[in-house]
Amino acid sequence: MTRDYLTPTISNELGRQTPEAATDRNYYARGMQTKALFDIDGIPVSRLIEDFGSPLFVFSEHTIREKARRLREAFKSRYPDTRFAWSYKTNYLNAICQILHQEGWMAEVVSDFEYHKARKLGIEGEEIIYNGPGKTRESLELAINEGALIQIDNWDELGLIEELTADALHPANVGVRVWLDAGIRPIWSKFGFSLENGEAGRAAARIVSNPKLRLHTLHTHIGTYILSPDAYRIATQKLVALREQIYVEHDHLIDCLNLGGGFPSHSLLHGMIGPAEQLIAPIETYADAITDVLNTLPEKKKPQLRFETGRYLVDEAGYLLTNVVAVKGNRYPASMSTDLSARDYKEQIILNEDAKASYVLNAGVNLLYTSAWYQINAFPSRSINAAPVPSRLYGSLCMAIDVIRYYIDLPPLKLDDIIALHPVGAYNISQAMQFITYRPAIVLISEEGKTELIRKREELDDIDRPEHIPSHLSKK
Amino acid sequence: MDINTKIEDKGLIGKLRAALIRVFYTVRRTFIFIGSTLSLSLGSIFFIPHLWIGAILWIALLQNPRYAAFAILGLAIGAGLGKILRISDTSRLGGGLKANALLASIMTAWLTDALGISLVSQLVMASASAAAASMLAAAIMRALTGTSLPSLVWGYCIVAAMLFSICPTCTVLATSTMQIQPIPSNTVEWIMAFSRSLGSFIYSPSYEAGLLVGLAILLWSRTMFITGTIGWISGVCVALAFGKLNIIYYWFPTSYNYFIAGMALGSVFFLPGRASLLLAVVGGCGASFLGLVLQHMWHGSSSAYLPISAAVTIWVVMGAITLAGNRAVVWLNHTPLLCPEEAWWRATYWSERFGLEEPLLAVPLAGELHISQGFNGALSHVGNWCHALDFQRPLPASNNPDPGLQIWAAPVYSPAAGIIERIKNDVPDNQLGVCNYAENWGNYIIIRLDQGGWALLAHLQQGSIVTAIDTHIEAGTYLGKVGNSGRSPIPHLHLQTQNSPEPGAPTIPFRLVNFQSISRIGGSLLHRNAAVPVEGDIVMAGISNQAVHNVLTSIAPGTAVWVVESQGHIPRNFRKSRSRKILRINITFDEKGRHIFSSGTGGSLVSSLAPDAWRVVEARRLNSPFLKLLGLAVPSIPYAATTGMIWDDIAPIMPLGLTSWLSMSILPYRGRKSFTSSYCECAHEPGLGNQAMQIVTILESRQASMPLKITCEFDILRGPIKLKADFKNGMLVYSLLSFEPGLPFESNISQEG
Repeated sequence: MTRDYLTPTISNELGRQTPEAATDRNYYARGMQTKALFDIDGIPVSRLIEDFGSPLFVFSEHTIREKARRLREAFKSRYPDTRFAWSYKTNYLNAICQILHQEGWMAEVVSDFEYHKARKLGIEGEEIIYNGPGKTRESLELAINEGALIQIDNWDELGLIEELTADALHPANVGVRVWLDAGIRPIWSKFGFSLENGEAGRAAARIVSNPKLRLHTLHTHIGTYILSPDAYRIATQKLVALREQIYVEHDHLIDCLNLGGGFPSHSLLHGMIGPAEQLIAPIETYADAITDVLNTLPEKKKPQLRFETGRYLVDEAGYLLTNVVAVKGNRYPASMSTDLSARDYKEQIILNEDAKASYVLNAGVNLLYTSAWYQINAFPSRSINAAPVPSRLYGSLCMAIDVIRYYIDLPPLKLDDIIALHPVGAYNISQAMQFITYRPAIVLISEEGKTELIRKREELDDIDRPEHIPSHLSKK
Repeated sequence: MDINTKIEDKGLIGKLRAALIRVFYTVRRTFIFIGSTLSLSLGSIFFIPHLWIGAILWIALLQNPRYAAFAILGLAIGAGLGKILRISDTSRLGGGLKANALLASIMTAWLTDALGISLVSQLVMASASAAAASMLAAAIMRALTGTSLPSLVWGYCIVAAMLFSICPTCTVLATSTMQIQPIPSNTVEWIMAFSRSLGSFIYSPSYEAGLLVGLAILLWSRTMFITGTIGWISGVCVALAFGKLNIIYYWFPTSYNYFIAGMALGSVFFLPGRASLLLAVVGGCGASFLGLVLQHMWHGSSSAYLPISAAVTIWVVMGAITLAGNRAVVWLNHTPLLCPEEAWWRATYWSERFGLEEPLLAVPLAGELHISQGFNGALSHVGNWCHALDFQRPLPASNNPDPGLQIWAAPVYSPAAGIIERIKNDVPDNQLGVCNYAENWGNYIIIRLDQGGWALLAHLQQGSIVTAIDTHIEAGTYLGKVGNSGRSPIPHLHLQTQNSPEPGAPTIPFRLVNFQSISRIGGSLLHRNAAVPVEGDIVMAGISNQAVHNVLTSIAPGTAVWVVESQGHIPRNFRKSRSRKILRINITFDEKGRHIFSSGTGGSLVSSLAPDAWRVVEARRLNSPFLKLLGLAVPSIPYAATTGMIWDDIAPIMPLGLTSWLSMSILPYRGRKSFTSSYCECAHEPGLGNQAMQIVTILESRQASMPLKITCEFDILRGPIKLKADFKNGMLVYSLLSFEPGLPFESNISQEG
């Protein structure tokens, strides 16, 4: 045997496997424990399942109000003339909307359905902001009559509004949706008029010159889940500049700047690594960026500041409780396998990836639309004394794409274990589709700790009630 | 949206408003037309092509309302005749059709005043003399076409002389109505005599009229007033000297001629300067002497008091001086419609930037080059042949065996556009170290340059020249290879310009354009717009950077809305007139295809896309801080710009502020230049990820009112998108908010409403 020093070489053994496989050789690479979720606002998770069945959506009123108050405080302490509107599309459960309306939120709607819903909840027209590229003629007529603020998206809509207000006695309040380059990619050029090529200025000029319309708001919404507070600074600067342009050229000072939403929740996109608390700037940083710009304006020229925040307020208040209905694949860390058949390695070779423990949950991506972009966390409801290992969470749908998490570190789970998926409060309810199975019940835990059923579990009748069988098909 | 849609949108009130606006603009246009016709015609007699200042002259004329009325009649006839003859005399200074008619009419008013003939007869006479004077003026203008001589008020002079000779008694009668002016005895009287003299050109020899005329001239141009006064004093001195010799000279009625001749020669037709002060003296003396001669020739006829002596003096001096062309002691003023101070500033500015009509040549070779002999070289570029450059490779490359780096056989490209006039292609190349004294230039090409002059490229390789005589070539056309023929001991390329096509004719100065000097020490690249490299310089032709070229050539017409932010103290010249934070800049093209960045009342900046660079070429009534800063930030951007490249240039922006305005009057005589050099560095070339081109400029200025540093960014289509100026105690930031592409010409925009 030679004692000469040999330069290190990268062995084939390592080259065959993904870098993650190397981590698996260290049993403790993922730490020793996984956080468990025993209760939500003091109500044990297991009791919620017992009382309301599984799967089950759970919302925390306390969390929503806490988030709303923090958001309000962040802005109002810096810029008192700030108002918020609840983005209905984020979650239009009546109970959720009401919580925010109680906190002083206006309603921000983007369709006739949402408009009707807000009115049904008792929101006055003046307290509704009507947004979106697809407003129907009828709903616009209604909104104009009821004094809602219409934030105009395109020239055709402007033309329609001009037509609808031609004989009006009082000018209708309108806003202009503007898209601009705040450094965020992709630029959301789908909505509104372009600031950069002068289109927004022209639209504003046309509105200002029309005595039947009153330009009340400049509105932009630079994107969703914006991690850079500076982008809001740029957007605010640009809107302030456009407002100044309209003031200088048309002697009309616009009342309100609406910066839309897009503040991130503590949810991570796929591929993001690290704790959300470190990756996502606190809301106060965003408030600083925006109000720094506005506070440079002279007192008389300060506009009302508005937001249409959705995700930030409600995402973390929502949970989806599910049960493990089947366990598949490799249950233990690969290096700990004692099975001489090397079944785990065979799977690894066939799939050309790491062997994983896979769990089938009793809820699928039809309820978790946002799982396509976000890493939804999964928490067992009991403490498990085992190190987490790479695992996969399947949904219950009879479709290959129904994977909630392709890769998640979880301790070994058993059949019937309760898994709480969180955060799921934003968009998942409003985008959940009835597919294959019934949609689950939704429970709200009030600030007093009472559990309230705010939406029943779907039944057959809920689904087939609107249906009609033609008479020739009703005979057997 | 066009104006019709706008009106529809606005309803009745809108329609009414639009109609009122139209009426307002029509009335305004009419007033401006009439006002400009009146004041420009009278103004042009005193070389003042300015609307409001011309109006002051009318006030002077209105001292005698009868003259003013006749002047308007004459003006109308002159204008009518101009229409019939289809000639415009808007650009004629010192007398066009209208000015001649106007003066002839005033003259008739003066002449007929004491005659006691009916008003109708007077008017008929006035009309006839106005018509005759303008016809004569037109004929003289025709005769002078193509010369540098101005038509002046000869039409009026001839008609007046004819009338005066027909009726000498009329002139005696008319003269008797005028006050006899005694010879002044003290300073006050001299000043009053001077003032009355100024008014007597328009038959109003009163102090008031003279003061108004003097004020008008002073307002328009201080140098004109100075040179006119010098002319007047010189003329009066000559007159007094003749008086001492006991020669009868009644100089007062003709003394305005001294002023006119001094002014015209000292600062109107020639640019003001030290030498032109002498011309003013010559003008005044000449006019005075001629006045004396005419008085004696015409035996005291009133014709001797016409502006003939000034006109003859102006022609004689102009004819004599302009014979030398560019080498004349004073520069001919090619922009007489500008006030002389500004004309002088512009001429000096362009000569500073590109030389005095020197041929501009590109570097005729690719790659790094060593100027082994420059102008006034140590070896052979001497005497009559001092303006020449010898190109070789820099030393390390010469030692390099790589043939691509050798000058021998390197391709030679045409340095400018022109026609090949002479070629020699059959001289054998020399052995290294050996000259062929039988063939001075070896194989050569002589190009007659489109811009004037001839260029000689010499010592080419035998048989390498691929072009033929009489071929028109563009700059950059391949011509042949560098050789070692003629008086050339080692391979090199000799380049010179000359003013005739013979090989070896005396050389004339030229400048190299669009090249980079490479500093071996700092490693930075200095781009030169137009300069003469000196012996030992390492130079390289500027090669267009596609990305920069694309950005600069893509600047589209349209409307840009800019946001202004300021911090700290901003000097007054760059302070916004109002606290508004929005600025609209219209970008259009003029008929020459140049970009006009216009800020409405703030004036405009004109830039051109020259073959080698984007270049700011003119500032018009520039008042906008933004446009001033833009001009200072980037007087030019070479297409060859790359990250790290530096260049310097001067902006066509006249010194700013009231003190500068006053000091401009004496600048031409101080012989000091007043340009602010901008040292630009390309901090980023346009590149990946939509990165805009960034240029950082440091200004070389001793004035505290100038920014220390200006940073600007250029992007595709929109041109400038950001401009940041750092002052001593403040900062001004302009950011482009929106850019709306628009129509190319100003006329499109005004039609659109």
